[in-house]
Amino acid sequence: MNKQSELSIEVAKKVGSLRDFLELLESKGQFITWPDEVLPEPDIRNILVAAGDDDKNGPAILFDKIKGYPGKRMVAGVHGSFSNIATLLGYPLGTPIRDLFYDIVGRWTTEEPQLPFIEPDKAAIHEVRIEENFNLFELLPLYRINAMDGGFYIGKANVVSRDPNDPDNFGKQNVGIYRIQPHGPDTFTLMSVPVHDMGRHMLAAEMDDVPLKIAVMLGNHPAMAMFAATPVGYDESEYAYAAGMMGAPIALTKSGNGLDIQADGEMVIEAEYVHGERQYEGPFGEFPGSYSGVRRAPVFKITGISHRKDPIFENIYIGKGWTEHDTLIGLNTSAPIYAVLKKEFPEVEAVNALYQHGLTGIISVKNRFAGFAKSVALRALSTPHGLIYLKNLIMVDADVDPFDLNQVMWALSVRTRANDIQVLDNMAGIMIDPSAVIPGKGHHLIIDATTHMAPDPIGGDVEIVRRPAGREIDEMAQLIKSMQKEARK
Amino acid sequence: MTACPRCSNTNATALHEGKEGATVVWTIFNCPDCHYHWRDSEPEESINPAKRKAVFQMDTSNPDKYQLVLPVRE
Repeated sequence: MNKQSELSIEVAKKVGSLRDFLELLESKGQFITWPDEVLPEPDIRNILVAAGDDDKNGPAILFDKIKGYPGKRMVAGVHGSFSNIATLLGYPLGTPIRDLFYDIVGRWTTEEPQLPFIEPDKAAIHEVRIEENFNLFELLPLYRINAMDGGFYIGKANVVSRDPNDPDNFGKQNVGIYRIQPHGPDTFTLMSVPVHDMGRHMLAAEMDDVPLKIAVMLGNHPAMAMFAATPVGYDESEYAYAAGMMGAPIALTKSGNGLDIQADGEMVIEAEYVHGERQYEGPFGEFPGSYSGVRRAPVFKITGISHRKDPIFENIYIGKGWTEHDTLIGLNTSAPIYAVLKKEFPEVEAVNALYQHGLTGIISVKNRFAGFAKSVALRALSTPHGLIYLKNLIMVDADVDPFDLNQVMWALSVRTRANDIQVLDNMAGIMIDPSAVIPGKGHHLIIDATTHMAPDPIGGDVEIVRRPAGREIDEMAQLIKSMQKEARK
Repeated sequence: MTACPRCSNTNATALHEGKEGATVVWTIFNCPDCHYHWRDSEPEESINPAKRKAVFQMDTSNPDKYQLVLPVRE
């Protein structure tokens, strides 16, 4: 069951689209319009880096004076801070990350998703229809995200594709975020590898020589932007997850080429996979903070475009962290690892996989006996995400909040012995880890920073200071903040 | 035809002009060989071959050097 609060359902009901969410963010002071004219490069990336540095409270930023793109609008940073995520989930600005994590864990459901269908001729996304003379470079205010990228990337699209061998299966219809590099006025490459659901669709289509039609959705419902990046099962619908987790409807309609798309999105680019063709793609500044090199990637040709009047092009800054990418997917990366572990080890308290998509993770656990936390760590490494992403894993006790790095560093400082560090070398890893000697291979490192327990020798006469905690302390902290605010006047 | 800042081939063509009123304020170019795209208003580190780091330059005479993302069906 979805355990979200009444208040969060009220908030969710007000947010049916990107535009609704921007309005809500504006009411909280979390959305601004850049006042000056900007050059596509380097101004946009510079401004987005500056905003992204504030992972707690950075705002979404709209650009509507982009030189050479009169009348075009571009927004980024929509999921760029935890206060923006808190707003989407119905919490006050500044809500601790740990509370947001538990909220998302409590919502992890696809029960009763509300996915009303709007007839295409009544759907906002089809307000303007383009059937010929496509030109991506004219339509979208494109810009180079990082200086050495190979082109002007679209980094936050939700891409819809169907399983070519089971095209009527709604669950197997995939919605994912894949980086897109426009190549010509009506062509683009899309980066999906065989392990991705969409990569499977592409391989199957080429193998059986059947067409693969896709819909590239831009300017999406903020929950879709979050959940299209979440690893869910192959036959599970990202739409169902997103609507289920919001506890509110996400309206769908059909694209011109027959896929289920969001009815209230800003734009949909319909395209078809060009079998057998690969073009140079990249480099692209990726989430580990390094460029993935030039590769030969699959090509798509545009067959139709629909958009709202005066559409907003939503994009992202991604690169060396902290960036919007980290906030966008961090909690949704952490929650499924927690869900798997919790079933087998109820002692697991929380999972923080915010850092570079979980290349470093921190798990808090109620230690049962000496060495227990290491076994939990090994299980985490065999979760679907852990297999290749959880490179460095820090295990801490339940009295340490894994989302509070001051506490984690304390645990590392005082609870780690050299023989608590395990290295599993020559394991599977991600292709784009800049430290990898062989891309796709690497190590898992477990640092057990939990308390020593019997039968381990505990050492000297050690008692940990009981630090006052709880509601009384939290209220005191609030009081001190308000006294401080008063003193500053 | 224009020289590509990345692969130095000279087949690049203009793809789109950004305008303010009737004035062209920048032009996007496309190299059909290495598929680099650039705007002539960008900082030099992206578009001046002399200022670009060598590691980002491309040699299109050897396509096999660049990994295939999805295997192509024979």
